[in-house]
Amino acid sequence: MKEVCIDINGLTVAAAVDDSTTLLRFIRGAAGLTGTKAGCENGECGACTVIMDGKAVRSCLILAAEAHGASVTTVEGLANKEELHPLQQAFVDHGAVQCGFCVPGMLMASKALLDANPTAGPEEIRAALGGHLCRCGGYKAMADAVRDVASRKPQQ
Amino acid sequence: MRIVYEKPATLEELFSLMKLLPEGPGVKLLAGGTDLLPQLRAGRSGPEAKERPILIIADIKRIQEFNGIHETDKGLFIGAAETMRAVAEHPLVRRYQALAEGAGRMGCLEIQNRATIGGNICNGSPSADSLPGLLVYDAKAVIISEAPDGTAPRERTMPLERFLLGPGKVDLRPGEALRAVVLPRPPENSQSRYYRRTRVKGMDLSGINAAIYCESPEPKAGAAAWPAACGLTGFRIAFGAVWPTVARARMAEDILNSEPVTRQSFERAAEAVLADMKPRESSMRATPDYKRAMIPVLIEMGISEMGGASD
Amino acid sequence: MNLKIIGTSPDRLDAAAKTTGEALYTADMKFPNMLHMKVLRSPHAHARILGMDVTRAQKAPGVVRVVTGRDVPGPFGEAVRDQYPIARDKVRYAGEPVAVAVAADENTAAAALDLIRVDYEPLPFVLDPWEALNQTSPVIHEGLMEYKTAPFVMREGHNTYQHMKVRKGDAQTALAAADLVVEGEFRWPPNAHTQMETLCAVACYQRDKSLTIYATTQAPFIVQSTIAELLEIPPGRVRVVSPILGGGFGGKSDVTIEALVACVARFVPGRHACLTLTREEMFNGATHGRSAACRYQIGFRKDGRLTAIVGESVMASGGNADYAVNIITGMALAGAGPYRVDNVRLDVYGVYTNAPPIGAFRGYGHPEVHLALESLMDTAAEKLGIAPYTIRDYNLLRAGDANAIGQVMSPHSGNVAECAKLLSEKLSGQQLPQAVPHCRVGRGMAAYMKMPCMPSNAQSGAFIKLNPDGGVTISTGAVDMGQGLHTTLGQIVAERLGLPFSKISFNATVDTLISPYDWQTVASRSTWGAGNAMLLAADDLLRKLREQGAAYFGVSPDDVETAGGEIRAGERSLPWGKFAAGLRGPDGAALTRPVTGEGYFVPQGVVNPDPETGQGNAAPDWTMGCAGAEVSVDMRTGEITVLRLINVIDAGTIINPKNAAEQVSGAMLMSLGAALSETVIFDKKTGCVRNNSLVDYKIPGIEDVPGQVDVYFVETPEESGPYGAKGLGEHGIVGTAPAILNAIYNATGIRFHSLPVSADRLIAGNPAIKGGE
Repeated sequence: MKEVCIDINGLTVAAAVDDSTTLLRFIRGAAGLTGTKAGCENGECGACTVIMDGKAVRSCLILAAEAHGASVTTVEGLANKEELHPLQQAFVDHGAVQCGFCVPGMLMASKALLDANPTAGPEEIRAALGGHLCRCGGYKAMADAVRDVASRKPQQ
Repeated sequence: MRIVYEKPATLEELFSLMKLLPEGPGVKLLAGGTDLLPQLRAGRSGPEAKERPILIIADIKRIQEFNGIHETDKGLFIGAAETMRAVAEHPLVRRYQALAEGAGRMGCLEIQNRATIGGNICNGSPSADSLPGLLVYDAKAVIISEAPDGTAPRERTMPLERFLLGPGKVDLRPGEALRAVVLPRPPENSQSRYYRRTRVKGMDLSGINAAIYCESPEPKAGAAAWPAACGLTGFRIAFGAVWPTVARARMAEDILNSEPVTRQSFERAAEAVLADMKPRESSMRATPDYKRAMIPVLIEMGISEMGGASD
Repeated sequence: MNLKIIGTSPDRLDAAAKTTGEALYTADMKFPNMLHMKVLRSPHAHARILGMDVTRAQKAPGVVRVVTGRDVPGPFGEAVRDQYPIARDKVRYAGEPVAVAVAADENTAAAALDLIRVDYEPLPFVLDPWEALNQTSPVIHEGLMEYKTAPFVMREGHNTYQHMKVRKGDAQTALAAADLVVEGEFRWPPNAHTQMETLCAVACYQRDKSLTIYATTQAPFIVQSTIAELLEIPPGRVRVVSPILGGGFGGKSDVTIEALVACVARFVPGRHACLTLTREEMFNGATHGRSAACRYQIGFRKDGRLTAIVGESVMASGGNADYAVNIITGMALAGAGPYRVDNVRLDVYGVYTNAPPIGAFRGYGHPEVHLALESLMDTAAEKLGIAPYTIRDYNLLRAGDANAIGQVMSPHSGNVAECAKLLSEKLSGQQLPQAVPHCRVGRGMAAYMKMPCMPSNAQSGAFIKLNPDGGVTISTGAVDMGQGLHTTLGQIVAERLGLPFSKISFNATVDTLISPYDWQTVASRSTWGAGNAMLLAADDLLRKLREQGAAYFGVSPDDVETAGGEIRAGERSLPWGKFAAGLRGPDGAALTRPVTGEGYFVPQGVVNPDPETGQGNAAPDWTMGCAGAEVSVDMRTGEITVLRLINVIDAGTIINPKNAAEQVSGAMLMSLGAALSETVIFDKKTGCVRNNSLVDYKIPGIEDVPGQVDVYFVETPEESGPYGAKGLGEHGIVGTAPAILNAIYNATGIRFHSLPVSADRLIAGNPAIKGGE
């Protein structure tokens, strides 16, 4: 067992977990944040993507113990109190939500992209979402939603 | 099997951990974890994993010696714990185009943010994306271990190609760790490309991959495209998923480098690879027939792209 | 009709909750003291279980219970009773459950599985459909002829659990007289549904003999009746809850893991016990789809008129048949496609094989037969020197024509000819892009039709509850697995009640305790079936509002109006909301009752097809359309790039164009995956699934999406549908793969007879083009 402390969405979550526990299971279990989804637990689908220390990562491929002391943002940390995050709103507006299971991962990958590159173009958006699977096939609507937000940012 | 996670801060701490359970599978080094975690989940981290009561996972990421990308007098030093993303984007790696391209094609963005070049090498995949690029630049593996007397750590350096022993197997002895790769500085007039064939256009493992490196003696602006007068020399070619490890196609290189490149010499070079290749029969990613067909295609792509370019 | 809300695309009712992580899926739910299960699965494709020793596992620390096939009841199965929740004497596919360990956590349960000893006697196994049909192949269900079955099952013994026939005219004679006969065998291999959410169920059996199960199911009422019968509990005491579903595509229909989870939960009464399948288990412990081979001979007159279709098809259904029986029906009844043809002879066989069972998969038998039909249509067109559009147009069903099962198309049946025309115009209206070096470009099309395969009395129900703010909450027994059903139903209700869409709220989960009956959410039937039930419920609500208004105002119900959210009697009026919970008079005496509308719908006049000829009014409706594709093929590498996909579909009135287009294009992308990269690969030596992960089962990602994906609607109102709507969720998958194959042929001259067409097959299978042009 390891005593693990992770800052998740601005709150410190501390728990003693088995050393083999992944960050994904820590987030869904110890932190009780079930918005982050487990689609394969093998790094292949992207549903579990969160932002750790500023970078989009697959939480199923990281041990919770590795993330000790890190700062993590999950899909629950996107909205500002009552207000949806612009990306969330754009997903709603573009009809980019179907079964919804891939959406948290898509949103976190998109946020990491726009944090680093606020005016990302279609190619960059495709690359950022390249490892995310959506079996409903809603890729285009999602890419359009991200592009919509990116094109709204003031040009630098 | 119980897993114990440790995060040594120094080499000394790492070596003392590695001594606790000296037989290979007892201690696993963790860098990015993108290969190791799925292996742990599938219960196949080493052949005897199941019988072992304890497996120590030693996270090497914060040990200074495994980090850094910088020039040295022997060439470009890339620490084993550097991420594929860092390798793909680092300004110093740009000169080694096939390596930067390979690292940037591996997995997907989130995987590249964690996966390390050391992990990509030591996992021993016959089609690892970073390896063709590393091999055409004659990369050296820097292997570190504790000195017998317990003082300063010992390093040995070997050609990376020889470090790769077989699928899933690299030349690490008990107590050793891959510290870094060092890439000799290539000549100014050198260039390289990375190619791979996959089943889908997005995230996938390579069915076959290749790096082609060459030099142009006098850069020719607007030179005629392949095969005429491309004037390329100094070929180095590496293929993945063609032999049990990623390897250089030296017989093809010798043919291409022994005379001016013509359609005939190119075809003989490809034939030489075909005669020597040992593809896995049962691969789900590409059949041996497809690989055979792609060997000349990928070599030709490299020659024509680099030969046709004026810069 | 002046429609305000039908035909618009309001934001989906469920969208916001799915972007915030607040939407709760089955695996997100936790219960006090919850236990976890892990399943030991057979490593053999076919073997007798000689013995099993679970004593070590049972004694392992933390293990609450180990359950084996001997401990649980069975067999069960909706159409053929041929499966056990946990295998008993025999395993019939690698991956079949043989034991379940229950423990406080997953790791402990998984570790316990290693301590179970099973003695198997491996038997020869069969995977190939034709081989399984052959009398010399290993028999998989020795008791087949004794099994209890539904009346429409026509088993023939050996491995053949179903043989469905369609007979019309004299096909053999017509074929002999035809000017041209084209023929070929076409194979669609097993595909995995690959819903992003894996199967999960949490069950709690209580000592009062009731059972609650939360499950990833498209079919809560089927699960309810199956579990009730298996565990001998009155159905009313089996509560099945289907929370928000992360994709279904048929793979969560009928009964999946629920029977096993319910049976095991009975051994740990009072505690919730959860089973979540891993992604790997989704490939060997859940159903697959497709897996059919179709041999077709099609006769034509010189002028292109279709004169005869003779088809023999077989579906390799895996270790148990269950509802695959109905997929056979789909392959048979739709086996002549959207064409007018007087002579049809189709034989479709369902056979057991030693693979994970085949279940419903978006398209339900239709894509498999259309692959054969639409490939051969192009072959015939080429041989006759007729354009692919022209030969189709000449033969497509029009109003007044009888289809292969004798149903006469009415003007509202859908205008497939118009779909084909529009598709052809759209396809050729754009220049084929200039081929880049080493590449060839081509285009192809395929027409299609699909019916909902379901019992002739498949029911749908709806409740509409009036709220104090004058809005309504809709409840249905149909499941929204991502298709946007609640939004569509909400639009139907808002339109009928004359309310703004913002007044609609919905019940996101289906709960068999309180939700109205619904057969199951499959067959693209919910907009149509549940939509009709909603209309009836809305009318019921309006009627009750008039009654209550009459009671309050002291007038006749005929003198009460309900428009504009107001209950009006002459000069007097009150908003609807006041009636939600009941109104009192000045003296405090109650005058009105709370108001809830309810509606139930069953299709009228649908009958079982004749067992010998397949003729009859077996399909309540058909949705028809046409698919098109444009591809670029790199002749050096074999890389196939789909540049453009088009679908023109006549699904009647479109309730929500944005949602509808997403459904159709999503299905098209799934078909692209099947066409180019998806197949379940079996180890020939062991019969195990080799590619049991997303690493090697390749579904399309964003970079595989064609640059242009267009969906067009031809809207011929369907007489029997709500506001003229009918189903469209599956149809994009039916024609797209054959259209892609036709486009590949058009580009390269290479005709592929099976899927997927990988770069590897294009190059390695065609030495002539190896290494470029």
